[in-house]
Amino acid sequence: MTRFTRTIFVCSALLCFALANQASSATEAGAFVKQLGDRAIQALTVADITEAERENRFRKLLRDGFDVRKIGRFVLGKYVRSMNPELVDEYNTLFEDLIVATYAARFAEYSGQTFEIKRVATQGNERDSIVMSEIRAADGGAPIRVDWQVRDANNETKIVDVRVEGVSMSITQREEFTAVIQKNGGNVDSLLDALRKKTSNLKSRQ
Amino acid sequence: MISNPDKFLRSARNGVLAVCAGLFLLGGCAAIPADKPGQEAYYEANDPIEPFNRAIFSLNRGLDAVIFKPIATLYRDALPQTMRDGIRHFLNNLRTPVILANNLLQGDVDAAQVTVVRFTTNTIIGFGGFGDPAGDLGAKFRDEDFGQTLAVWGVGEGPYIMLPVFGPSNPRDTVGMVVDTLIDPINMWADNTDRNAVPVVRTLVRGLDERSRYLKTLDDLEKSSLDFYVTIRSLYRQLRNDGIRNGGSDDPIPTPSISLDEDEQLLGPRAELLK
Repeated sequence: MTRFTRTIFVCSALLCFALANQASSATEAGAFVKQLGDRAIQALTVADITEAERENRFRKLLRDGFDVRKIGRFVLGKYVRSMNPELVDEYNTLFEDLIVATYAARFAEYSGQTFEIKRVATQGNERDSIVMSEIRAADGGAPIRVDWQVRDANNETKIVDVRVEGVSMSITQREEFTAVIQKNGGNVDSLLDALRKKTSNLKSRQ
Repeated sequence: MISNPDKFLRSARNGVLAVCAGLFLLGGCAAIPADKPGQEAYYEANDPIEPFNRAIFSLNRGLDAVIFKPIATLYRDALPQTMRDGIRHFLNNLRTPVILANNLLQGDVDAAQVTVVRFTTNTIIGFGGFGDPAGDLGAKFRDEDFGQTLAVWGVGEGPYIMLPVFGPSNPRDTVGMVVDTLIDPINMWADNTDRNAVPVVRTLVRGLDERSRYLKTLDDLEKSSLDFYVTIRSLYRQLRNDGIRNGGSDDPIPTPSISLDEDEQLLGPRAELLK
């Protein structure tokens, strides 16, 4: 073999390997989301548990399935730099509490929706897979399109963003948080206050 | 088609600046923050007339609370789902000429074919459009409008605007809405035959149908939101971008992923103003 053909051979072997790798990570990502969804429906939609128990179960699934810390940092944007570590810790706790308070109770309203993975896309050179799924109501009606951005990092598979009908939860949250900080002259404490109030409001409504 | 998009954009921007100057005199423009993260947030929001928009938003919410929401709730509770679906399918079917025109203006021949097939199928075997047999067979309804067409042509959205009654928009989509109304043959027919009530009733029923489908969603959003105005602004932009990308179709360009780095810029069309 000439040097040239050898190089070509090695390159194409590497390419095949890379593609195979990508395909398997896409399948894994799909299976990961499917499994998480099934677990959520199984654990959270039962009627005869207390709201506190539902929240505990939700929190566990959230930590297993999502990189909450990463999302939280993204949502804060640049402001995270101006915060000391204790404040960041407090923010992380509050951010997780907000997610739990917002979404856990919604599973109590479950009425037989089905959850189906449509396909998984891995974009060119990007490390993340996008798992496209549909949630279908039991009574027919238009299905809701939900895309999950799944990342493999540090030997862990975690969801880093959820997009409902193309609307990214992370981006929406970031715009909101930024606006609260902005309205209060760039003061991050104002956001923590708002989060505390919101979380306790959401809890008292249940 | 616009022969010189650059020139169009420039004049659009000048127009916006003029409007903003006018609003500023009335106290409607947001001050540009002095700090760097603040400036980034300001340009990311792309909402230079925010105080003015917030005032209109309050007005809209007031109207919603006393008029639109109660009527939409009544509509939802009084009519069975099948009947409401029928009304929606009928309205969607009536929109065919506008959708078809925009499919073609966007150069999307495949979508244009789907639009034609849907119209014939639903009109003939869907009881004049009240059924959606085409959708059941996989040819799903996908709305198009002139705002999306302008976006496909490369026209930027411009700053966020809250319109009275019609709600969130921007200069591009406002122009789109006007153009769609003008090119709609049903409106032309109504205009020519002095049936002025037809377009009005149609718009009202369409609004009622839309509002009745988002009763629960909007209530939930408001409950969990820290600043409802900002939530709606963010949703509007993201939903429009999804529509422009044809996110719901079977062959979407996968939604662009975000890196989730803190430095990630989500600044939109006004980013260059930061430098």
